[in-house]
Amino acid sequence: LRRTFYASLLAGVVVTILAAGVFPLPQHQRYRSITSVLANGGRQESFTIEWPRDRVPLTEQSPDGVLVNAGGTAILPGPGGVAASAELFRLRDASGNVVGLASRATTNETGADGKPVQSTNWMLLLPSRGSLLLRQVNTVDTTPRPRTLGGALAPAQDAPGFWAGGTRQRITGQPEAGSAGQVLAGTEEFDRLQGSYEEIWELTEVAADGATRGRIMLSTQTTMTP
Amino acid sequence: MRTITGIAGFLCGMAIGLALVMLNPVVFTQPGPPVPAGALRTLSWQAAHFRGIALAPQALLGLDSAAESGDTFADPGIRHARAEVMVIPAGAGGPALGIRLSALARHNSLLRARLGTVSQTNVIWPTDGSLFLAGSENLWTPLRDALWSAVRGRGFRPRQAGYLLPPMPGLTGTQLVIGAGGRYSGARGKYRETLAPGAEGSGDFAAHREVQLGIE
Repeated sequence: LRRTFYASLLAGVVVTILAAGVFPLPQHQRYRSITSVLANGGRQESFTIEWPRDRVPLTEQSPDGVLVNAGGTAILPGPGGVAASAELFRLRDASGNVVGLASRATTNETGADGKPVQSTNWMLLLPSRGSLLLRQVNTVDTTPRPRTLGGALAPAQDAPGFWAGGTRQRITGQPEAGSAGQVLAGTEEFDRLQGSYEEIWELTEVAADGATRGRIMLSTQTTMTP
Repeated sequence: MRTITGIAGFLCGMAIGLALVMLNPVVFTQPGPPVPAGALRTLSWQAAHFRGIALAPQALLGLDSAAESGDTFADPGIRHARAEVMVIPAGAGGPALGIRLSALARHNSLLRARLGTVSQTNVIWPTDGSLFLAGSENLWTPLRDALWSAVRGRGFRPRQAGYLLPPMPGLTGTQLVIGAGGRYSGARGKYRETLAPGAEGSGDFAAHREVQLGIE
């Protein structure tokens, strides 16, 4: 009996450790990367976000009552109204597959020349590949604003007059003005990548109540740093 | 009698095997959190509302039966991801807005004591500047303590008041501070993170976080 007990004990130890080795931990669905090679050896990859369906809803108000939700945008109020805002989205590849999450944070700050500028930080997290961290100076004011006089704050793209200049708006500063969007860093498969990107908003539909549909296009051009 | 003895021995062996996995000695060979250098700054915040997976044993092990409901993302590419927006009381300069995106790490392994997440955090101080934190967190130790607590009938509750989280082994370019704009433009550094668990049943390990930044 003693031999049986110890043999079973050993079998139990081995089976448990083997089971831990093959235990099916969660894995991320991976889609084929859609990239193109540039003449300088870099690579180009584009991502899209379709609003409003890709917007990740936020809670109505943070537990401490500081953050305010304006149509899915989290707002940190400040003396002049909106001090900073944050939006969360599902991120799609060029084929329309949801490949990750994206955050867009906008604030006003002092530029290199001492003048006030509006800037946006993007975080693109692709769980199966890594992440990209982006930053730009905006040429268009994208902070939430009231849709009607005295009304509640809403995303900029739903505000009257936002599309007065056309149904395609380049948000990122112009490279020739020295304010191109910057790919600041990446992690995992994007590690050591740096480069530039541009953010373009494209309007596709306006509903009767003024709500809009459209897409945000993020086009990145990166090269490997030594 | 022989059968009963065999079953008893096997169950005892399974218990020993489970204990060996939980007390995995590999954890002592893993790198610890970096020691930030340069100008230090500490940020701390309470857990905020999040969308996506909870930082709890069920979600980390993929046993969450509620994975298809609630606030978890249904899209296969982000099913094991998480997003949260929080206010960071930052002292001078007023509060900061924080955004954190995270996902289960790709190379989790029970035998290698790797069970954690990768995360990116964006902190924005209005009118002052902004920075990114890019890192990973190996949650093996709090998970082990929570399971051990559960085995003893005390519920899934890590016992320590705070856990200094090591990065996930094998990942390069982790625990990085990357300056984005304003006064932090061009800044680089390292950070380390401490996690304080919440009460049992809160559904999430991360009740309170503290990040110590070193900006060079």
